[in-house]
Amino acid sequence: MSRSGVYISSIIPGFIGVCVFVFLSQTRNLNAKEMSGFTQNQKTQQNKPDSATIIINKYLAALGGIEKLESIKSLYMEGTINIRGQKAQTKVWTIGNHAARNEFTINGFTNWSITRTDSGWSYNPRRGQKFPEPMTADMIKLSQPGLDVKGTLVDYKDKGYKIEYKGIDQIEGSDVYVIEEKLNESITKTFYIDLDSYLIIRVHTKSVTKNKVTYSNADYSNYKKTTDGYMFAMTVGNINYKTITVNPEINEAIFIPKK
Amino acid sequence: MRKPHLNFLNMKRTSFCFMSFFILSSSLFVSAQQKSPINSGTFDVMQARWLGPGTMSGRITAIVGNPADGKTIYVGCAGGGVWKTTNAGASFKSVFDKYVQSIGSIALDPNDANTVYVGTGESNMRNTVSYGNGMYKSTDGGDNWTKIGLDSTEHISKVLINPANTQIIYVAAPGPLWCDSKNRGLFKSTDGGTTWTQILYTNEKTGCADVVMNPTNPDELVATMWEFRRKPFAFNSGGKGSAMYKSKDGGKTWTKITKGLPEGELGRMALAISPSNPKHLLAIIEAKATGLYCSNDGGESWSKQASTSNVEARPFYFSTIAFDPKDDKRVYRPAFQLSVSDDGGFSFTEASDEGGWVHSDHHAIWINPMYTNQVWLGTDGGVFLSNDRGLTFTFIQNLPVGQFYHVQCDMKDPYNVYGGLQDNGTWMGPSQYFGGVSNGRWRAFYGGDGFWAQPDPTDENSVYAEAQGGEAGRVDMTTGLVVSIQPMQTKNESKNKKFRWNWNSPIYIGAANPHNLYMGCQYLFKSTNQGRRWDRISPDLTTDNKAKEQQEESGGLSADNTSAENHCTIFSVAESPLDANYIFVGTDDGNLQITTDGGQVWNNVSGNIVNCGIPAQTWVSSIEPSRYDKNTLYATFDNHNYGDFNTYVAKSTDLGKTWTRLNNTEFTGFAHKIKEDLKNKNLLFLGTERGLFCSINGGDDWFRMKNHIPDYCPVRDMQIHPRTNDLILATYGRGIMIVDDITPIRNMSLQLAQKDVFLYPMGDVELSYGKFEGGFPEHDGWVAGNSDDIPPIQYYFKKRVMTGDVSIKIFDASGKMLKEIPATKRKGLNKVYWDLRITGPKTATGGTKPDQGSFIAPMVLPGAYTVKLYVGDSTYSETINVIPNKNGKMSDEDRKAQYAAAQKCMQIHEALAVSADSINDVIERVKSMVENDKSNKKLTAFLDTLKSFKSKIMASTQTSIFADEERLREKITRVYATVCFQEAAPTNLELDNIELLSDDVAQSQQKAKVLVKEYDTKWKNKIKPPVTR
Repeated sequence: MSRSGVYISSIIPGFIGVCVFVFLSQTRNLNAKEMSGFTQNQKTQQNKPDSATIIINKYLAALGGIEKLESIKSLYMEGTINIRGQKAQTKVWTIGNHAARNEFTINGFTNWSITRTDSGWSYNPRRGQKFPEPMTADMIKLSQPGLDVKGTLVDYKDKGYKIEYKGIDQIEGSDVYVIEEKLNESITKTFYIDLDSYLIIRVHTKSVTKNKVTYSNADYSNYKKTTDGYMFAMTVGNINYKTITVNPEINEAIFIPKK
Repeated sequence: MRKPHLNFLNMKRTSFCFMSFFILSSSLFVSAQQKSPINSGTFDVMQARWLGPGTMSGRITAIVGNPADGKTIYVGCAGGGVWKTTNAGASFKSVFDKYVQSIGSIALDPNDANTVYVGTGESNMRNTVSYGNGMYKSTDGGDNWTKIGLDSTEHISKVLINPANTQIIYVAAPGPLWCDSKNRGLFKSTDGGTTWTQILYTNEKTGCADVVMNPTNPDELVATMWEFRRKPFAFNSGGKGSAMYKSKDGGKTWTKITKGLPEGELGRMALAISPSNPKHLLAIIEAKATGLYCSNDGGESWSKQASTSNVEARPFYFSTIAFDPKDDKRVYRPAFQLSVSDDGGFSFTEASDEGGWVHSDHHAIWINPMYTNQVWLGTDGGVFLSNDRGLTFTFIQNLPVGQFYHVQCDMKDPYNVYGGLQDNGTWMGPSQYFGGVSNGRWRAFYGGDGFWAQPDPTDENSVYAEAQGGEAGRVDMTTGLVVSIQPMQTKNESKNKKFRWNWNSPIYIGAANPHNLYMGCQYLFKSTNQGRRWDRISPDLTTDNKAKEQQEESGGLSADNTSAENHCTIFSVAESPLDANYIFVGTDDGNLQITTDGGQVWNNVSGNIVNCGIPAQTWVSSIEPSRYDKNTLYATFDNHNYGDFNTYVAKSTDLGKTWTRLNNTEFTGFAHKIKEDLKNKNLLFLGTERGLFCSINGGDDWFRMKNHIPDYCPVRDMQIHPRTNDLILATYGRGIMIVDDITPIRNMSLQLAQKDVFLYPMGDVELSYGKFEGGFPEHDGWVAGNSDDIPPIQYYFKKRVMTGDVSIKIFDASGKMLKEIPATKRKGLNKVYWDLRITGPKTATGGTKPDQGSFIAPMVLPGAYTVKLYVGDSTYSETINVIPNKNGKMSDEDRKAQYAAAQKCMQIHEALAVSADSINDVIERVKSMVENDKSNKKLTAFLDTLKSFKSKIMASTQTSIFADEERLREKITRVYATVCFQEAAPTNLELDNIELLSDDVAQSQQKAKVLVKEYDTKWKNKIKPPVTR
């Protein structure tokens, strides 16, 4: 064999092999880049009919599995919020699809809100309120998803929610699956789910009332698995939860508004 | 005899093959591994500030509103994307930041206002027009968009929706400006934009300029076709392809309309159909004699109307005419000015300036069909709103969509930015101001179309600015007076050599010698005394191609020669920061000329550039000589004038003999400017017509910067401030943007990016009480925020932290924790702020009003502090060296006195809190006892005593913020806040007050003990204990 032939016979297979390796290693990055950038048509083409279901199922599995989530009937969550170095306390009691009570305590003042399926009140003594005030019909309507202790993605079909996979985007540098969930004419949630862990990074909520449209974001992190196999985000927005109890006994009296 | 090397190969063939494979594979594997992990998200936290201005906005190309509410309006801009208001202009939100920013047309589904169509690529075909990439659709009111085709049309003039069947959409696409293309004409979709059919097409030079639909019979359409072409040195509007057509079957078949239209070639034709009388149409028809034409038979035949110069003005550029939706006789002609007719277009009057000057040059109009008094007008300077049918207007002040060509900055503190705006002169504004940079802080100081603005570093009162065609002046900023400095021809010049100044002629101040001032036409001129004397230091540096110097013939049917088409001119000039004799010149006809002897000899290196893959003689849009090596330079090249939108940027390390093209799949848009960092030679920034890009490794890898910068923002120029390290952007449609302090980008490297966690060193941090504090917010349109007062704590995560907590704690030198700060967990750079204060005290609780004392804390004293970043089980530490503020007003003694006084206040607050806690607890217990034993008068009296004591130490009666109730707690907070928040030592009376309050607290403590003792001894075990929840 000629000298050049020796070179070629040794180099070409290696070169081809490396090219294949590099190509394969780049493919997923390219897909992510294309989908998040210029070529929206390509993104649409990758919107396969069952993509949303697959992603949601994986998300639910990451949280502990559908059976575990469906077994949640009530929740108690207790945490703190750091406000300029001071710790405010927050407590939330929720009986699924029935009622919820949120308390926020700082410097001896406790603000609270109560949401039921057909009514709601809030009390904010820090602002000088003397008595609990009723929520408007719009506020009650917008608060209803908060009564869903399982999460709105659990059994979304049975609940009548519409799901759409929107492709891959980037949230704070991380590639995410984007799932849009339309609960009703007033509420649309967009879930940004981490590609690797299938855990939610952010939920973006669009709320439409007759007077205005509002947007809010809640960021999720510090995921921890409980001893009984539930995975919870222990940090949501500014709140660091210390305790999350599944299916506690809750006294209904706390859902009755009194000063 | 066998040759040794061949013997070696023969004997070791197998192992040699294996080694070759291994080595090659390894090297490529390693290089794949080391590919930059840095991407758009890495520095996303460094959000750009949108400085504006809003007081001088930018070209508006489309306006459409929701007639159902009259307050939801979409505004499309030439380079500023789409903005939406839902409150009739009280505020706007940018809703198109992920997509191209040049907007041609917007349409709302008449049956569902949440369904919005945007056609990208404005069709006001001036020389600096940008380009689009087709159609977009939103079904949620602009929150999300999907691209729906017609990608290659580049310019869309109208989107029309059939009101009877809103799945039917028509798109008029004039198509590409700079080259032949089949991607033009009239397109139709019958499925809401999913698929498209080209239903009217003439040839590759002719597109569809306009289309109107009979609202009562939507299958009846009239469309105009327009032949046009722009070249870098000429514009032609009009040709055999231009014609008017009518269809009665939704575009299946078309009839050419000629009856009553001008003879000969036609140009651009704008149409309007009266919604209240669809047989009545108007058209501005460009021809040898441009005019206003009227049809009363649905466009079958036309007749010429009398019209004014404004009505006929510049038809290729002013292509809008509209009827009042309810009044067939009321016609609006936005053009150079707004003309209004009340007789169906026979005669016109102009709008009034009573409500304030209305910017000239109009391209968009929307009349609210439910309230026709309301007229929204889109001009070259922004949006105006009328509530009296266009008689008077008010300016919408909160749209920062100015089109800057260039930006410069000075060294004042805070620094000012300077730049020239398309259509709108030259402006300066502060980078920061008290309460934020509002519209009123901007100042216009030169007229015409603005381009380069150069503050003189040797004379803080002088700025060089220009209008189009090189008309430059030296502005005295103290008086506003201007001295012209534009070099003029002299008898020494050839009589036939008229100076050729580019539309955007360079004015440049020497980087090595700031006394050097340069201006370029086809020659380079230099002045060393602020333009008082000029010397020509070059021959003609261009190709001097006579065929490209016939601008007086430019325009086609309508002469249009405003220096926009001037060609064979110098476009970019640069002086090496390392040697003032090294001067670099780039021309619009592709020459890149270099001198190393101050202009004696020039070397044209353009012939070498093509070897790196850049087309020959491509317009040189910028040159950046390196500040690290005088033989190294970077250059950007722009070939879009020939229909080539590729991104061309290259580097030479041998003064232009050889070039390496810098390329990346991420690049989009033709290149405007490359910038080398002032301190890190591997850090490069690239601005293009479609984005801002960054490389941290000398151009090997690039990422798009999207940190509050629209993904495809047109970036024409940029500067890096030498003192603040800010990256300042001149965007062509989003005003000036500033990315504060790029040090984290500068300090990033591929090696660093591989670390899981990295806590950036803090170095020295100055104590600061704030620099640009404001009072009440201004009502002044667009207000940009200021940069951070205090440098943030910055750390890097290779991946987002999904599990485990992240927090930051600050410790003093003794190891005592001063503050805990919530931390972020994003992938890439994170920024968290320590306000240089410790944690506030616990204050007394249980009153009827909240007290802010616990949120107040003093600043730390100068010294070394440790910041610890906790990531799960790992801890990372850095030292922060807190130093006094250089410009501060406090001595060391002042600081110590302040800190001591604050500490005293904290102590007495906490002492009072202890007392209050004990009393609160007793009150609750006694209350319950009283509930159980209401007849016990002594118990009730004791409760009253407790409450009375409590009411002395904190507000316990009033709840309203309008009812003051200052008790001991509130008094402590008042003096405590005073001490903590002022940049001064406490006064003698403040110190005395603290002593007084300290005594009061001590007395309260005693009293509290007495009351608690009374409870313990008299009541605690005597009465049934209370039931607790």
